[in-house]
Amino acid sequence: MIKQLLQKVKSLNPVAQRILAASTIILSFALLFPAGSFSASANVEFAAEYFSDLSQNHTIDGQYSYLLIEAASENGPSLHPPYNEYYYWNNVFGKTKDVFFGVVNGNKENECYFSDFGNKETLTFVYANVFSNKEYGEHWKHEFYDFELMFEGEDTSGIYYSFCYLTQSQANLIIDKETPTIEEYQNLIGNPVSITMDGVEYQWAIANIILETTNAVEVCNSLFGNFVLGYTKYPQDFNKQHCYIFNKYAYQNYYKLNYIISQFNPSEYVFYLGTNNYDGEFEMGSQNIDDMIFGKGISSTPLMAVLLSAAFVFLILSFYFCYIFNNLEKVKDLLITLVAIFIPYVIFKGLYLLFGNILLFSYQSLLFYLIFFVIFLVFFLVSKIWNKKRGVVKE
Amino acid sequence: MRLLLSNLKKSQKAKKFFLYGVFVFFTAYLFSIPSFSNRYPLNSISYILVALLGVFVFCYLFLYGSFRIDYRFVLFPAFALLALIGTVFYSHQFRNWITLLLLALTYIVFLYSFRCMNNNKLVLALTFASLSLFSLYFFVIYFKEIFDFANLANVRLGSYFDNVNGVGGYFVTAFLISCYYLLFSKLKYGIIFFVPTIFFALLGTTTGSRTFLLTIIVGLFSLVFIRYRKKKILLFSISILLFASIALLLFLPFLSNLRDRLFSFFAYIEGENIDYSTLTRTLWQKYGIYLGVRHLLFGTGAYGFMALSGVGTYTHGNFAEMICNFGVIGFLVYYSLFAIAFKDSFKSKGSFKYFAYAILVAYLFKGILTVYYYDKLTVFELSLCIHLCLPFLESKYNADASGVILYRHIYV
Repeated sequence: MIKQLLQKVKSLNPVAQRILAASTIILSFALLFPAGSFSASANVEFAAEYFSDLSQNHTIDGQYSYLLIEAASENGPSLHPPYNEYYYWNNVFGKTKDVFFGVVNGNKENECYFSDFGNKETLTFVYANVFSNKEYGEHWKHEFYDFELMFEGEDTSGIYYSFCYLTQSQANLIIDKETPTIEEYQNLIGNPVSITMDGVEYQWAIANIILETTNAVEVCNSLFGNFVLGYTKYPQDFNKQHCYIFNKYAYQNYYKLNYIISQFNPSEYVFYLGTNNYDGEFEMGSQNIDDMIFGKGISSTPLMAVLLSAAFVFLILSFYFCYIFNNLEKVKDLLITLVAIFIPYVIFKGLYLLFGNILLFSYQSLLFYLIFFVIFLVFFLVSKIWNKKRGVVKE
Repeated sequence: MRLLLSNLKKSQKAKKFFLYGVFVFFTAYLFSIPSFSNRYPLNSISYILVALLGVFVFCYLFLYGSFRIDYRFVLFPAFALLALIGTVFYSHQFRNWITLLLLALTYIVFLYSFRCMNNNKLVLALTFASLSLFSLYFFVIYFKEIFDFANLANVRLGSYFDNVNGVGGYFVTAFLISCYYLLFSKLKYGIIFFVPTIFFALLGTTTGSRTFLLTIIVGLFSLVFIRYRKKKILLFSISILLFASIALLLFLPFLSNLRDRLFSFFAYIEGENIDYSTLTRTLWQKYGIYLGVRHLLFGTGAYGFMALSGVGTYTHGNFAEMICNFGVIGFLVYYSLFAIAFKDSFKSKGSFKYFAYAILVAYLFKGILTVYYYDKLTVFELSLCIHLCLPFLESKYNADASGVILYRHIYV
């Protein structure tokens, strides 16, 4: 039966032969796009686009969104020190370094506020575990976060629970003046400030004042609203979290997510979307962020393998047809073949531009596309040699 | 004017003058690349020397040779011109694109200077001389540090000249030329090249560059394989001996820095622990390929990765960088230089092509560890490999190649 079928195929007229060869090529290359969209990498890309969309369209400032990661259990592996993480990102994303903060209560799930002043807006702690600020003109710079400080700072906790750095606005509220003098700020250092944390009042010593001059302060204000910089000691229910910040550039988010995947095992850590800076209209829906990042959502290796195998079968068929029809010798046929190869690319690119869904035109699909193209080139060169041996004359 | 030209064409003295000029500026420029090209304001010395080399090459060929070109001359400039497309649309790094254009010009100057010299032995000898001079310069500058064995393990030397990994790259070339002489020399006392080989290897290890170490191993084994490919037992024995020597050398105390860096790299590959340097480089390369595939045909332009990624540096891998910055087309045009050298070498005679193989294989390997397409020495080495693998004599180009006879005494 197969022999008969092949005989029939061979006896087709030239136009039908061309159409048959071109169709198998188109099918083969077209199948790569759905195949790629089921890969884990497409998942990450989708997540990167999601964060990009979130940052631009669903946040109050229209600039940043964030992801929180914390250890799943007390006995599990701990998070890297924020110091290491910050320096990693400072070295890697030197120009846009506000990518990472170590935080506590990043999503405002714990009730936590200044007991004696302010509007009881919930506090987030940007936490830091070491202490060696650097001189910076007339002021000081935090040893790793991009915070400009009024004073050098030292461990002032003494009899108090721990120590923290207040922002200038918070200090102004305590002093109760719009423009206090340096001496008035200085007088705050070492004094306690009461913070109610899940109903319990703790005395934190004021160790420094953060000047509201740098981009890092703007980012923290935009993401967390009311925040202080706190030392490492926190009540038991206040977990330390890594906070990764995303922006409108999907490709940069893709890098950050790949880094997160390389560092955090989803069975040992819990992942939360940062929700504090969402605008009123946005609802998270049923999206599971772990699945989205770690490829459990849309990715399916068996499905990808099936589609890829089908694409490969069509590629082999196209080789066979091109070979028996001598379709790679004449310039006209060669052009038709090239057009057939590029048709799926153009179609899926068009669909992507139309619908804006990255899964229609994923990175993995393009990588498969490139590999298949190289295989086709190799076949073309080999067929040239074969045809030379068979004595096929070029027109 | 015509009379002057006619007199110059006839004058043997003038011919010698221009030819010697090519020798001198060729050697001087090669020496200046590692020594000065990354040290402001001394880098202007490099520019002056390459300009003078260009002038002498032009004069010599204008008067006594020809400017005939073939596709080997066109590829690098074509690559530079194609890079403009991505640069215009995405990266907008026109200043860096100009660097590529100047490199293309340098590539042509090198190819024409080889044509002037018309003697592979001489070209290689001058290259060896200039890199040896640089090594001595390095040795003098770091004399104290090199002999301070207690601290040598903790420092990486070379930042006086360039990025330490870049300096390691210069020693790779010197090492491979020396190895080539050692293995293929017809001289009675060819074994003498063992001394510079070890010297370059030791100086290179002081840079603490893993790329240096891995590249010289690949280059060395390529040369050994080619040299003893027909004597399988000998090849096997030498390979075992070399592996053992390298392993033993790595356990010397003053190489502990390099050893640790290398082991952490292998540990990362096995997924054992997190070496931030390796992890970051791996992620950067993936990121580069990602950006490249998303700009498939012409890439993101000169320095596109640096400009767009947010990373602010290069991908630390030439393949990823090429795909990212120049797309598939730029990638194919650039690496066709390698393909042409390999293809030509099948028809070329003599042993120089074996040196070219070692360099090309080393560069292909190096492509996964570092970015080299905008490196001046790389441009030189690529043009050298293209020249050494030519399937015909350069004298085919020259109307009068008698100048070659003067240098026949250089037999290495």
